[in-house]
Amino acid sequence: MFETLLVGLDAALRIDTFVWISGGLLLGMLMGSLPGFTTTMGMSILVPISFLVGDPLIGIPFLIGVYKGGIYGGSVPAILISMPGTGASIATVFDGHELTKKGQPRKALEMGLYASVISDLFSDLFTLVMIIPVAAVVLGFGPPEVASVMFLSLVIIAVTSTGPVIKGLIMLCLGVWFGFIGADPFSGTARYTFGTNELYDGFHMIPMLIGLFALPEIFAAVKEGDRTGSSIARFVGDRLRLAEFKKSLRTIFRSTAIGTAIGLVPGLGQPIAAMMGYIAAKNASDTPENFGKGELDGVAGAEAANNAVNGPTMVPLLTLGIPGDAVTALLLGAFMMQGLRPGPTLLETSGEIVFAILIAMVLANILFLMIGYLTIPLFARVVTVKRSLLIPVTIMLAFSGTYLARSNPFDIVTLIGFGLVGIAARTARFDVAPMVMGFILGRELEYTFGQTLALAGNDWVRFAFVERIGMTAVVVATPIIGVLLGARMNRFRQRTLARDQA
Amino acid sequence: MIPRQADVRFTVVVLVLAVVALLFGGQLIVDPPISLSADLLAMSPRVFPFLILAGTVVVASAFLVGQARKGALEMTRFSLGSAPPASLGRQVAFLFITVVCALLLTTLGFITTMFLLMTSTAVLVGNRSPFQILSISIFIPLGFYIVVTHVLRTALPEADIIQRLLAPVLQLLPAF
Repeated sequence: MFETLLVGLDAALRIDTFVWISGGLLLGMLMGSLPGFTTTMGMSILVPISFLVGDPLIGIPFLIGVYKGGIYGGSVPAILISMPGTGASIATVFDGHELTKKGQPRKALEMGLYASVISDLFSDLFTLVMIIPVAAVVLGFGPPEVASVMFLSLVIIAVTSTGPVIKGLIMLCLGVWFGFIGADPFSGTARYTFGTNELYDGFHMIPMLIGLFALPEIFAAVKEGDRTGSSIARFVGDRLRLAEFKKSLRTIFRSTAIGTAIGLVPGLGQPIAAMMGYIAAKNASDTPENFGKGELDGVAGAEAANNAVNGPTMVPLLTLGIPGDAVTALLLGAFMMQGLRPGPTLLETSGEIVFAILIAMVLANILFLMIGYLTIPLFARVVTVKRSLLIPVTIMLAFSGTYLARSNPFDIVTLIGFGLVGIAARTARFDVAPMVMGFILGRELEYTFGQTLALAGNDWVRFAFVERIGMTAVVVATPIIGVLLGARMNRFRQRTLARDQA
Repeated sequence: MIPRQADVRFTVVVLVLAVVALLFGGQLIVDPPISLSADLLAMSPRVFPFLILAGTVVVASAFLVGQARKGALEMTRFSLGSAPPASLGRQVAFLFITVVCALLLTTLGFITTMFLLMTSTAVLVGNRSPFQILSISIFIPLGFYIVVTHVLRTALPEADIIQRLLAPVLQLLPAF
């Protein structure tokens, strides 16, 4: 494994990889900075572009750059105009915008950048270290263990989705059902294809993701009309002083630990990490009364926690093929388009590419710092760009990205179909993330479940309670974890709602 | 009588779809060419869809029952939400244009379809500057088309007439 790591290091140190990462970081920051443009939407339209470059060591790091840049970029409008660019930046608004009101947006943006880079760097290093032992454990998994972990992940994703748990479960079931359309994985017979050849291979993931994430955003923009950013968005005020930064280091590391732990659990994601990082910073502070009134520690706590999620979400993705959130679902699509299938055997079959990507992720943080520092003034201006200029470009990229993925005109129909589902779900306040996870994991779950049945044969009791006790433990624990996590999430949502109302 | 809340309407649609798929699953799932008996130890293609559809019916029904208890299922006159008529018109027009452009992409080609789609989207979002609208709708798809077809060497659908018009321009570009 160590040799593979060295080969990966050698493969990662390529100038073109870093040029594309830089491009991804810039694009991510641009998209994150634009109010109403989410990282998920940006990633969804850029996944096909990453495939076109042909090399996974360029395409995947490019998308990771977009991911990292997008999460940080979301803090720019949050700080400047109190409008979070992404869900991950909601907690940044509390103190970031207060600092802007006090005439110190530069301090807030610089603190956000440094906290993001430090937490991202440490969480990426953690990922690099963790992935080897996790992969070694996962390699011993058979279909029963994989099926039980997928079942657990799906339940966690459903209960931690935005809104009531039951809505998450409905969307999860809908997603799994969409995944059934096409050939049965065992017999190859057609299911729900209505006799058409186009549906025999099932829906392709990329048009589905673009349809679910990009079209509803565009639709919402059409509903709201043009919106120009506030004219107060200017990069002014004093620089962040070293003493102020040092004072927040403890908060940054605490939030990095929180974000890293949350990133390992599928379904939780950046918004929860940011909120928990913020609350932890406030609870640990000597001056909690200053939080919400322009406290730098508040910005550091939220930004460090949300960026620390980025790296660890790759651990379940790469070792088990389980995406933790919508963005990692897009990364899963990107991996599969490049011919890499995340799962227990990925490190064995393509270990050097995986390590190269992870090492590129770590090194990308240096670029992140440089590019972020140099471009903060630029992105502060981007906040004011008119949406009517960007939405037409986005829809062009959505259409062309869908077509370029497979050059199949049916994918455009899939895009529109899932776009309509996404619009309906958004109108009804249903989170589409569980649906995406259900779509991706449902088919795999069916396959591994079927294999488990075949392995068990007729002596189920012995199989479940003697041979595969680990599988049984996970299956039995799943509803308990689901109920406990669901209750905790409800309390967390109520507390957040109360805070918002206050 | 139509439920007022959007989430209730959405759940009703999901529930109806699940019930229909459960009832007509026999016709919608093709039987394997050989029967999957216990000896073959392979799962029937109907098992998992049945479990998930049954789960969908249970969860969707539970949601609707919960809403009914809260009194959210009161039947009121059909309302399209709080969107003012102008934005509703824009949304309907956007959906219509998007569907039309999706159907015309292979016939009209990438540049023409994107010109139509981008122009109409820009107008619908509220841009009233003809210069801005035409600039982004012409030059961005054109530039993208050249990059994809000439640099990345990947095909995009294009009408013959546009290809003939672009040929002199593409010949001037360096080979990649």
